[in-house]
Amino acid sequence: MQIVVFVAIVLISTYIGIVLAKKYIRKENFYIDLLAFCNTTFTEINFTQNKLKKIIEQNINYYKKDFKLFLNLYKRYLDGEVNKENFDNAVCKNFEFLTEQEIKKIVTFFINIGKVDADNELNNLDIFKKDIKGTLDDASTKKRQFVPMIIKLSILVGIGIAILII
Amino acid sequence: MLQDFLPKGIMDAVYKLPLNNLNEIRLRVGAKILVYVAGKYYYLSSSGLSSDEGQALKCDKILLDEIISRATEHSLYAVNYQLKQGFLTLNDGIRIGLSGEIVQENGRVKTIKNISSINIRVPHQIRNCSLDAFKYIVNDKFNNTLIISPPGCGKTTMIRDIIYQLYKHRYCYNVLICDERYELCGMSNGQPTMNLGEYYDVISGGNKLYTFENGVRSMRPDIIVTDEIANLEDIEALEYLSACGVGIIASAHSENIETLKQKPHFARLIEKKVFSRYIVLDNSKGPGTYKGIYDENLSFIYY
Repeated sequence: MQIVVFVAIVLISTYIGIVLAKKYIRKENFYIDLLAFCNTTFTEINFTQNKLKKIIEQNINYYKKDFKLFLNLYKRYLDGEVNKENFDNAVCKNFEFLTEQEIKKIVTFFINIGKVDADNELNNLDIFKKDIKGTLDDASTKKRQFVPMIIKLSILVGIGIAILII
Repeated sequence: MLQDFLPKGIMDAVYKLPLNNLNEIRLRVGAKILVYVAGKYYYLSSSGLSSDEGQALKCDKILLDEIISRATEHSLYAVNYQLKQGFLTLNDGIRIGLSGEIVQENGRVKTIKNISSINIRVPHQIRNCSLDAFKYIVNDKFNNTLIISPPGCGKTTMIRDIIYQLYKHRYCYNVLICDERYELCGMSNGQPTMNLGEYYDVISGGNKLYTFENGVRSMRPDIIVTDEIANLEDIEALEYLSACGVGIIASAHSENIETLKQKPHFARLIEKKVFSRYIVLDNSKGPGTYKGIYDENLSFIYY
Protein backbone atom coordinates (compact mmCIF):
# COMPACT_ATOMS: atom_id res chain seq x y z
CA MET A 1 0.00 0.00 0.00
CA GLN A 2 2.78 2.40 0.96
CA ILE A 3 4.50 1.72 -2.36
CA VAL A 4 1.31 2.51 -4.26
CA VAL A 5 0.87 5.81 -2.39
CA PHE A 6 4.53 6.64 -2.95
CA VAL A 7 4.29 6.02 -6.68
CA ALA A 8 1.01 7.93 -6.92
CA ILE A 9 2.48 11.02 -5.20
CA VAL A 10 5.56 10.95 -7.43
CA LEU A 11 3.38 10.55 -10.54
CA ILE A 12 1.11 13.45 -9.55
CA SER A 13 4.08 15.65 -8.82
CA THR A 14 5.73 14.71 -12.13
CA TYR A 15 2.49 15.44 -13.98
CA ILE A 16 2.36 18.90 -12.39
CA GLY A 17 5.97 19.39 -13.50
CA ILE A 18 5.10 18.39 -17.05
CA VAL A 19 2.15 20.80 -17.09
CA LEU A 20 4.42 23.61 -15.87
CA ALA A 21 7.12 22.70 -18.39
CA LYS A 22 4.63 22.49 -21.27
CA LYS A 23 4.45 26.26 -21.44
CA TYR A 24 8.05 26.32 -22.69
CA ILE A 25 7.42 23.51 -25.21
CA ARG A 26 4.27 25.17 -26.56
CA LYS A 27 6.01 28.50 -26.88
CA GLU A 28 8.89 27.00 -28.85
CA ASN A 29 6.51 25.09 -31.13
CA PHE A 30 4.41 28.19 -31.68
CA TYR A 31 7.43 30.20 -32.78
CA ILE A 32 8.71 27.36 -35.00
CA ASP A 33 5.34 27.32 -36.79
CA LEU A 34 5.16 31.10 -36.92
CA LEU A 35 8.57 31.23 -38.56
CA ALA A 36 7.56 28.49 -41.02
CA PHE A 37 4.39 30.43 -41.85
CA CYS A 38 6.41 33.58 -42.49
CA ASN A 39 8.77 31.66 -44.79
CA THR A 40 5.84 30.17 -46.72
CA THR A 41 4.09 33.52 -46.98
CA PHE A 42 7.33 35.14 -48.15
CA THR A 43 7.65 32.57 -50.96
CA GLU A 44 3.98 32.79 -51.91
CA ILE A 45 4.03 36.58 -52.10
CA ASN A 46 7.29 36.55 -54.00
CA PHE A 47 6.25 34.03 -56.62
CA THR A 48 2.60 33.02 -56.82
CA GLN A 49 1.13 36.15 -55.18
CA ASN A 50 -1.66 33.98 -53.82
CA LYS A 51 -4.07 35.75 -51.53
CA LEU A 52 -3.61 35.51 -47.79
CA LYS A 53 -6.59 33.28 -47.11
CA LYS A 54 -5.51 30.85 -49.78
CA ILE A 55 -2.00 30.73 -48.31
CA ILE A 56 -3.49 29.95 -44.90
CA GLU A 57 -5.93 27.34 -46.21
CA GLN A 58 -3.23 25.57 -48.19
CA ASN A 59 -0.88 25.30 -45.22
CA ILE A 60 -2.91 25.27 -42.03
CA ASN A 61 -2.83 21.50 -41.59
CA TYR A 62 0.96 21.43 -41.52
CA TYR A 63 1.07 23.34 -38.25
CA LYS A 64 0.75 22.14 -34.68
CA LYS A 65 -2.35 22.65 -32.56
CA ASP A 66 -1.56 26.08 -31.10
CA PHE A 67 -0.58 27.80 -34.31
CA LYS A 68 -3.44 26.13 -36.13
CA LEU A 69 -5.79 27.65 -33.56
CA PHE A 70 -4.12 31.02 -34.01
CA LEU A 71 -4.60 30.86 -37.79
CA ASN A 72 -8.23 29.88 -37.37
CA LEU A 73 -8.77 32.92 -35.14
CA TYR A 74 -6.98 35.05 -37.71
CA LYS A 75 -9.16 33.68 -40.50
CA ARG A 76 -12.24 34.70 -38.53
CA TYR A 77 -10.77 38.19 -38.32
CA LEU A 78 -10.11 38.22 -42.08
CA ASP A 79 -13.65 37.08 -42.74
CA GLY A 80 -14.93 40.00 -40.68
CA GLU A 81 -16.50 37.70 -38.08
CA VAL A 82 -14.48 39.33 -35.29
CA ASN A 83 -12.97 42.79 -35.06
CA LYS A 84 -9.38 43.65 -34.13
CA GLU A 85 -10.18 43.96 -30.44
CA ASN A 86 -11.90 40.58 -30.26
CA PHE A 87 -9.08 38.95 -32.21
CA ASP A 88 -6.59 40.45 -29.77
CA ASN A 89 -8.62 39.24 -26.77
CA ALA A 90 -8.98 35.73 -28.20
CA VAL A 91 -5.21 35.50 -28.69
CA CYS A 92 -4.59 36.69 -25.11
CA LYS A 93 -7.07 34.12 -23.80
CA ASN A 94 -5.77 31.12 -25.73
CA PHE A 95 -2.03 31.70 -25.73
CA GLU A 96 -1.16 32.38 -22.11
CA PHE A 97 2.40 31.17 -22.74
CA LEU A 98 3.03 34.33 -24.77
CA THR A 99 3.82 37.58 -23.01
CA GLU A 100 1.61 40.62 -23.48
CA GLN A 101 4.32 42.29 -25.53
CA GLU A 102 4.72 39.23 -27.76
CA ILE A 103 0.97 39.06 -28.39
CA LYS A 104 0.89 42.74 -29.26
CA LYS A 105 3.75 42.33 -31.72
CA ILE A 106 2.28 39.24 -33.40
CA VAL A 107 -1.27 40.59 -33.62
CA THR A 108 -0.05 43.91 -35.02
CA PHE A 109 1.99 42.08 -37.63
CA PHE A 110 -0.90 39.87 -38.73
CA ILE A 111 -3.36 42.76 -38.84
CA ASN A 112 -1.02 44.64 -41.13
CA ILE A 113 -0.27 41.84 -43.60
CA GLY A 114 -1.67 42.56 -47.05
CA LYS A 115 -1.85 46.32 -46.69
CA VAL A 116 1.14 47.21 -48.87
CA ASP A 117 2.60 46.23 -52.23
CA ALA A 118 4.69 43.07 -52.65
CA ASP A 119 8.12 44.71 -52.21
CA ASN A 120 7.16 46.35 -48.94
CA GLU A 121 5.33 43.22 -47.82
CA LEU A 122 8.50 41.17 -48.35
CA ASN A 123 10.57 43.76 -46.47
CA ASN A 124 8.13 43.68 -43.55
CA LEU A 125 8.19 39.90 -43.52
CA ASP A 126 11.98 39.88 -43.52
CA ILE A 127 12.14 42.24 -40.55
CA PHE A 128 9.50 40.26 -38.65
CA LYS A 129 11.23 36.95 -39.42
CA LYS A 130 14.52 38.26 -37.99
CA ASP A 131 12.70 39.46 -34.92
CA ILE A 132 10.88 36.19 -34.24
CA LYS A 133 14.00 34.17 -35.04
CA GLY A 134 15.54 35.91 -32.01
CA THR A 135 12.48 35.11 -29.88
CA LEU A 136 12.52 31.51 -31.11
CA ASP A 137 16.20 31.12 -30.15
CA ASP A 138 15.37 32.52 -26.74
CA ALA A 139 12.37 30.19 -26.36
CA SER A 140 14.49 27.19 -27.42
CA THR A 141 17.21 28.07 -24.90
CA LYS A 142 14.67 28.43 -22.11
CA LYS A 143 13.05 25.13 -23.09
CA ARG A 144 16.41 23.35 -22.98
CA GLN A 145 17.24 24.90 -19.61
CA PHE A 146 13.93 24.73 -17.81
CA VAL A 147 12.02 21.72 -19.11
CA PRO A 148 14.45 19.01 -17.86
CA MET A 149 15.02 21.01 -14.68
CA ILE A 150 11.31 21.41 -13.90
CA ILE A 151 10.62 17.74 -14.55
CA LYS A 152 13.57 16.60 -12.42
CA LEU A 153 12.56 18.99 -9.66
CA SER A 154 8.96 17.82 -9.77
CA ILE A 155 10.08 14.22 -9.44
CA LEU A 156 12.36 15.12 -6.53
CA VAL A 157 9.64 17.17 -4.83
CA GLY A 158 7.26 14.25 -5.32
CA ILE A 159 9.73 11.84 -3.75
CA GLY A 160 10.34 14.29 -0.88
CA ILE A 161 6.62 14.73 -0.20
CA ALA A 162 6.07 10.99 -0.42
CA ILE A 163 8.87 10.30 2.09
CA LEU A 164 7.52 12.95 4.47
CA ILE A 165 3.97 11.58 4.25
CA ILE A 166 4.89 7.93 4.46
CA MET B 1 -20.82 40.75 -54.28
CA LEU B 2 -21.11 44.02 -52.41
CA GLN B 3 -21.57 42.27 -49.06
CA ASP B 4 -18.13 40.69 -49.43
CA PHE B 5 -16.40 43.98 -48.86
CA LEU B 6 -18.89 46.55 -47.57
CA PRO B 7 -19.22 46.69 -43.77
CA LYS B 8 -22.54 45.69 -42.27
CA GLY B 9 -23.66 49.25 -41.46
CA ILE B 10 -23.27 50.34 -45.07
CA MET B 11 -24.65 47.10 -46.45
CA ASP B 12 -27.83 47.42 -44.36
CA ALA B 13 -28.45 50.75 -46.06
CA VAL B 14 -27.51 49.45 -49.51
CA TYR B 15 -30.02 46.59 -49.19
CA LYS B 16 -32.74 49.23 -49.02
CA LEU B 17 -31.77 50.65 -52.41
CA PRO B 18 -33.31 49.59 -55.72
CA LEU B 19 -30.33 47.35 -56.50
CA ASN B 20 -31.30 46.84 -60.15
CA ASN B 21 -30.82 50.54 -60.76
CA LEU B 22 -27.79 51.06 -58.55
CA ASN B 23 -24.80 52.08 -60.68
CA GLU B 24 -22.30 53.62 -58.29
CA ILE B 25 -21.46 54.11 -54.65
CA ARG B 26 -19.06 56.96 -54.02
CA LEU B 27 -17.10 57.23 -50.79
CA ARG B 28 -14.80 60.10 -49.99
CA VAL B 29 -12.97 60.54 -46.70
CA GLY B 30 -14.78 63.10 -44.57
CA ALA B 31 -17.74 63.35 -46.96
CA LYS B 32 -21.25 62.00 -47.18
CA ILE B 33 -21.73 58.78 -49.08
CA LEU B 34 -23.37 59.19 -52.48
CA VAL B 35 -25.15 56.63 -54.60
CA TYR B 36 -25.92 56.92 -58.29
CA VAL B 37 -29.29 55.35 -58.94
CA ALA B 38 -31.14 55.46 -62.27
CA GLY B 39 -29.04 58.33 -63.56
CA LYS B 40 -29.26 60.53 -60.47
CA TYR B 41 -27.14 61.06 -57.34
CA TYR B 42 -28.64 60.62 -53.87
CA TYR B 43 -27.25 60.45 -50.36
CA LEU B 44 -27.01 57.04 -48.77
CA SER B 45 -28.84 57.08 -45.45
CA SER B 46 -29.60 54.31 -42.99
CA SER B 47 -33.07 54.13 -44.52
CA GLY B 48 -31.76 53.88 -48.10
CA LEU B 49 -31.96 56.72 -50.61
CA SER B 50 -32.16 60.23 -49.27
CA SER B 51 -32.05 63.75 -50.60
CA ASP B 52 -31.62 65.10 -47.08
CA GLU B 53 -27.97 65.90 -46.39
CA GLY B 54 -28.55 65.62 -42.65
CA GLN B 55 -29.52 61.95 -42.84
CA ALA B 56 -26.58 60.92 -45.03
CA LEU B 57 -24.08 58.36 -43.80
CA LYS B 58 -20.54 59.67 -43.68
CA CYS B 59 -17.30 58.07 -44.77
CA ASP B 60 -14.12 58.28 -42.72
CA LYS B 61 -10.60 56.97 -43.24
CA ILE B 62 -11.19 53.88 -41.08
CA LEU B 63 -14.23 52.90 -43.13
CA LEU B 64 -12.43 53.44 -46.42
CA ASP B 65 -9.38 51.44 -45.28
CA GLU B 66 -11.62 48.61 -44.12
CA ILE B 67 -13.43 48.49 -47.47
CA ILE B 68 -10.15 48.44 -49.39
CA SER B 69 -8.69 45.81 -47.11
CA ARG B 70 -11.74 43.57 -47.56
CA ALA B 71 -11.99 44.25 -51.29
CA THR B 72 -8.38 43.17 -51.75
CA GLU B 73 -9.07 40.15 -49.51
CA HIS B 74 -6.38 41.51 -47.19
CA SER B 75 -3.86 40.89 -49.96
CA LEU B 76 -3.09 44.20 -51.57
CA TYR B 77 0.21 42.81 -52.88
CA ALA B 78 -1.76 40.41 -55.08
CA VAL B 79 -3.71 43.15 -56.84
CA ASN B 80 -1.08 45.87 -56.96
CA TYR B 81 -0.93 45.66 -60.77
CA GLN B 82 -4.57 46.82 -60.77
CA LEU B 83 -4.06 49.42 -58.07
CA LYS B 84 -1.27 50.98 -60.11
CA GLN B 85 -3.85 51.63 -62.83
CA GLY B 86 -6.24 53.14 -60.31
CA PHE B 87 -8.82 50.43 -60.00
CA LEU B 88 -9.67 47.10 -58.45
CA THR B 89 -11.94 44.59 -60.11
CA LEU B 90 -13.74 42.10 -57.92
CA ASN B 91 -15.74 38.98 -58.61
CA ASP B 92 -18.95 39.68 -60.53
CA GLY B 93 -17.23 42.48 -62.42
CA ILE B 94 -17.68 45.07 -59.67
CA ARG B 95 -15.04 47.70 -60.26
CA ILE B 96 -13.66 50.03 -57.62
CA GLY B 97 -11.99 53.16 -58.94
CA LEU B 98 -9.46 54.64 -56.53
CA SER B 99 -7.81 57.97 -56.00
CA GLY B 100 -4.97 58.70 -53.66
CA GLU B 101 -1.24 59.36 -53.73
CA ILE B 102 0.76 57.79 -56.53
CA VAL B 103 4.07 56.29 -55.36
CA GLN B 104 6.74 56.35 -58.04
CA GLU B 105 10.14 54.69 -58.18
CA ASN B 106 12.60 55.33 -60.98
CA GLY B 107 9.90 57.12 -62.91
CA ARG B 108 7.48 54.19 -62.77
CA VAL B 109 4.30 53.94 -60.77
CA LYS B 110 4.92 51.55 -57.89
CA THR B 111 1.60 51.70 -56.11
CA ILE B 112 -1.09 54.03 -54.86
CA LYS B 113 -1.23 54.92 -51.16
CA ASN B 114 -3.31 57.06 -48.81
CA ILE B 115 -6.43 56.29 -50.81
CA SER B 116 -8.89 59.09 -50.14
CA SER B 117 -11.85 58.24 -52.30
CA ILE B 118 -13.35 55.30 -54.10
CA ASN B 119 -16.07 54.81 -56.64
CA ILE B 120 -17.72 51.40 -56.55
CA ARG B 121 -19.27 50.65 -59.93
CA VAL B 122 -21.88 47.97 -59.95
CA PRO B 123 -22.16 46.10 -63.24
CA HIS B 124 -25.50 45.25 -64.79
CA GLN B 125 -26.77 42.88 -67.35
CA ILE B 126 -29.75 44.44 -69.03
CA ARG B 127 -31.21 41.93 -71.42
CA ASN B 128 -32.10 43.26 -74.89
CA CYS B 129 -30.76 46.75 -74.21
CA SER B 130 -28.80 46.49 -77.46
CA LEU B 131 -31.67 45.20 -79.61
CA ASP B 132 -32.34 48.52 -81.36
CA ALA B 133 -28.72 48.70 -82.41
CA PHE B 134 -28.22 45.01 -83.05
CA LYS B 135 -29.88 44.99 -86.47
CA TYR B 136 -27.34 47.60 -87.59
CA ILE B 137 -24.42 45.68 -86.14
CA VAL B 138 -25.25 42.39 -87.81
CA ASN B 139 -27.29 42.57 -91.02
CA ASP B 140 -26.02 40.66 -94.01
CA LYS B 141 -22.55 40.85 -92.47
CA PHE B 142 -20.95 41.80 -89.18
CA ASN B 143 -20.05 45.48 -88.87
CA ASN B 144 -17.17 46.61 -86.70
CA THR B 145 -18.77 48.68 -83.98
CA LEU B 146 -17.53 51.41 -81.65
CA ILE B 147 -19.78 52.39 -78.76
CA ILE B 148 -19.15 55.89 -77.50
CA SER B 149 -20.49 57.82 -74.55
CA PRO B 150 -19.34 59.78 -71.52
CA PRO B 151 -18.48 57.60 -68.47
CA GLY B 152 -21.40 55.89 -66.76
CA CYS B 153 -23.76 55.84 -69.74
CA GLY B 154 -23.93 52.08 -70.22
CA LYS B 155 -21.21 51.24 -72.77
CA THR B 156 -20.07 48.10 -70.99
CA THR B 157 -23.63 46.94 -70.36
CA MET B 158 -24.37 47.44 -74.06
CA ILE B 159 -21.29 45.43 -75.07
CA ARG B 160 -22.33 42.57 -72.78
CA ASP B 161 -25.76 42.48 -74.34
CA ILE B 162 -24.39 42.53 -77.89
CA ILE B 163 -22.31 39.45 -77.02
CA TYR B 164 -25.40 37.78 -75.59
CA GLN B 165 -27.53 38.73 -78.64
CA LEU B 166 -24.95 37.16 -80.98
CA TYR B 167 -25.46 33.94 -79.06
CA LYS B 168 -29.22 34.30 -78.77
CA HIS B 169 -29.64 34.97 -82.50
CA ARG B 170 -27.47 31.93 -83.18
CA TYR B 171 -24.74 33.76 -85.02
CA CYS B 172 -22.04 31.21 -84.44
CA TYR B 173 -19.22 33.72 -84.32
CA ASN B 174 -16.29 32.85 -82.12
CA VAL B 175 -16.11 35.87 -79.88
CA LEU B 176 -12.90 36.61 -78.01
CA ILE B 177 -13.31 39.04 -75.15
CA CYS B 178 -10.24 41.05 -74.24
CA ASP B 179 -11.15 41.87 -70.65
CA GLU B 180 -8.24 44.04 -69.64
CA ARG B 181 -9.82 45.23 -66.41
CA TYR B 182 -11.82 42.09 -65.55
CA GLU B 183 -14.96 44.17 -65.95
CA LEU B 184 -16.69 42.82 -69.04
CA CYS B 185 -17.29 39.24 -67.92
CA GLY B 186 -16.33 39.31 -64.25
CA MET B 187 -14.32 36.11 -64.57
CA SER B 188 -13.60 34.58 -61.20
CA ASN B 189 -11.13 31.69 -60.96
CA GLY B 190 -11.79 30.81 -64.60
CA GLN B 191 -15.58 30.89 -64.20
CA PRO B 192 -17.74 33.58 -65.82
CA THR B 193 -19.99 35.32 -63.32
CA MET B 194 -22.26 36.71 -66.03
CA ASN B 195 -24.33 34.92 -68.61
CA LEU B 196 -23.09 36.14 -71.98
CA GLY B 197 -24.05 33.03 -73.92
CA GLU B 198 -21.80 30.20 -74.96
CA TYR B 199 -19.80 31.37 -77.94
CA TYR B 200 -17.13 33.41 -76.28
CA ASP B 201 -13.64 33.03 -74.88
CA VAL B 202 -12.06 35.43 -72.44
CA ILE B 203 -8.51 36.63 -71.97
CA SER B 204 -8.39 38.73 -68.81
CA GLY B 205 -5.79 41.08 -67.42
CA GLY B 206 -3.57 41.49 -70.50
CA ASN B 207 -3.10 44.70 -72.42
CA LYS B 208 -4.90 44.99 -75.74
CA LEU B 209 -2.02 44.47 -78.14
CA TYR B 210 -0.76 41.39 -76.28
CA THR B 211 -4.25 39.91 -76.10
CA PHE B 212 -5.05 40.67 -79.75
CA GLU B 213 -1.79 39.22 -81.07
CA ASN B 214 -1.93 36.09 -78.99
CA GLY B 215 -5.69 35.71 -79.13
CA VAL B 216 -5.81 35.87 -82.93
CA ARG B 217 -3.06 33.26 -83.16
CA SER B 218 -4.33 30.89 -80.53
CA MET B 219 -8.14 31.18 -80.49
CA ARG B 220 -8.97 32.09 -84.13
CA PRO B 221 -11.72 34.53 -83.21
CA ASP B 222 -14.25 35.93 -85.67
CA ILE B 223 -14.91 38.92 -83.44
CA ILE B 224 -12.83 40.51 -80.71
CA VAL B 225 -14.55 42.55 -78.05
CA THR B 226 -12.73 45.11 -75.96
CA ASP B 227 -13.59 47.96 -73.66
CA GLU B 228 -12.34 51.53 -73.32
CA ILE B 229 -10.08 52.42 -76.21
CA ALA B 230 -8.08 55.35 -74.93
CA ASN B 231 -4.53 55.86 -76.16
CA LEU B 232 -2.35 55.47 -79.22
CA GLU B 233 -1.27 51.99 -78.14
CA ASP B 234 -4.92 50.86 -78.08
CA ILE B 235 -5.59 52.39 -81.47
CA GLU B 236 -2.56 50.70 -83.01
CA ALA B 237 -3.76 47.43 -81.52
CA LEU B 238 -7.16 47.95 -83.20
CA GLU B 239 -5.50 48.73 -86.53
CA TYR B 240 -3.54 45.50 -86.20
CA LEU B 241 -6.78 43.65 -85.55
CA SER B 242 -8.57 45.28 -88.45
CA ALA B 243 -5.71 44.28 -90.74
CA CYS B 244 -6.10 40.68 -89.55
CA GLY B 245 -9.69 40.66 -90.79
CA VAL B 246 -11.16 40.07 -87.36
CA GLY B 247 -14.43 41.79 -86.43
CA ILE B 248 -14.29 44.37 -83.63
CA ILE B 249 -16.66 45.59 -80.95
CA ALA B 250 -15.12 48.29 -78.79
CA SER B 251 -16.00 51.29 -76.67
CA ALA B 252 -14.52 54.69 -76.02
CA HIS B 253 -15.22 57.71 -73.88
CA SER B 254 -16.53 60.61 -75.87
CA GLU B 255 -19.57 62.82 -75.74
CA ASN B 256 -20.48 62.54 -79.41
CA ILE B 257 -19.06 61.93 -82.88
CA GLU B 258 -17.68 65.47 -83.13
CA THR B 259 -15.71 65.21 -79.91
CA LEU B 260 -14.50 61.75 -80.93
CA LYS B 261 -13.04 63.18 -84.13
CA GLN B 262 -11.18 65.76 -82.09
CA LYS B 263 -9.60 63.20 -79.78
CA PRO B 264 -5.96 62.52 -80.59
CA HIS B 265 -5.50 59.50 -82.87
CA PHE B 266 -9.20 58.70 -83.19
CA ALA B 267 -9.43 60.67 -86.45
CA ARG B 268 -7.05 58.05 -87.84
CA LEU B 269 -9.47 55.24 -87.00
CA ILE B 270 -12.35 57.15 -88.58
CA GLU B 271 -10.34 57.95 -91.68
CA LYS B 272 -9.27 54.34 -92.13
CA LYS B 273 -12.89 53.26 -91.64
CA VAL B 274 -11.88 50.67 -89.09
CA PHE B 275 -15.43 50.91 -87.71
CA SER B 276 -18.54 50.86 -89.84
CA ARG B 277 -20.95 51.49 -86.97
CA TYR B 278 -20.73 54.12 -84.24
CA ILE B 279 -23.30 53.86 -81.48
CA VAL B 280 -23.58 57.00 -79.37
CA LEU B 281 -25.15 56.74 -75.93
CA ASP B 282 -25.95 59.28 -73.28
CA ASN B 283 -27.70 59.57 -69.97
CA SER B 284 -30.61 61.83 -70.87
CA LYS B 285 -33.24 59.18 -70.09
CA GLY B 286 -31.04 57.05 -67.86
CA PRO B 287 -27.89 55.11 -68.76
CA GLY B 288 -27.97 53.48 -72.19
CA THR B 289 -30.11 56.09 -73.95
CA TYR B 290 -29.45 56.04 -77.71
CA LYS B 291 -28.29 59.35 -79.06
CA GLY B 292 -27.65 58.01 -82.54
CA ILE B 293 -26.12 55.32 -84.70
CA TYR B 294 -23.76 56.31 -87.50
CA ASP B 295 -22.18 54.45 -90.38
CA GLU B 296 -18.54 54.45 -91.48
CA ASN B 297 -19.00 57.83 -93.21
CA LEU B 298 -20.45 59.18 -89.96
CA SER B 299 -23.85 59.52 -91.57
CA PHE B 300 -26.78 59.27 -89.25
CA ILE B 301 -28.62 55.98 -89.72
CA TYR B 302 -30.69 55.64 -86.56
CA TYR B 303 -32.12 57.88 -83.91
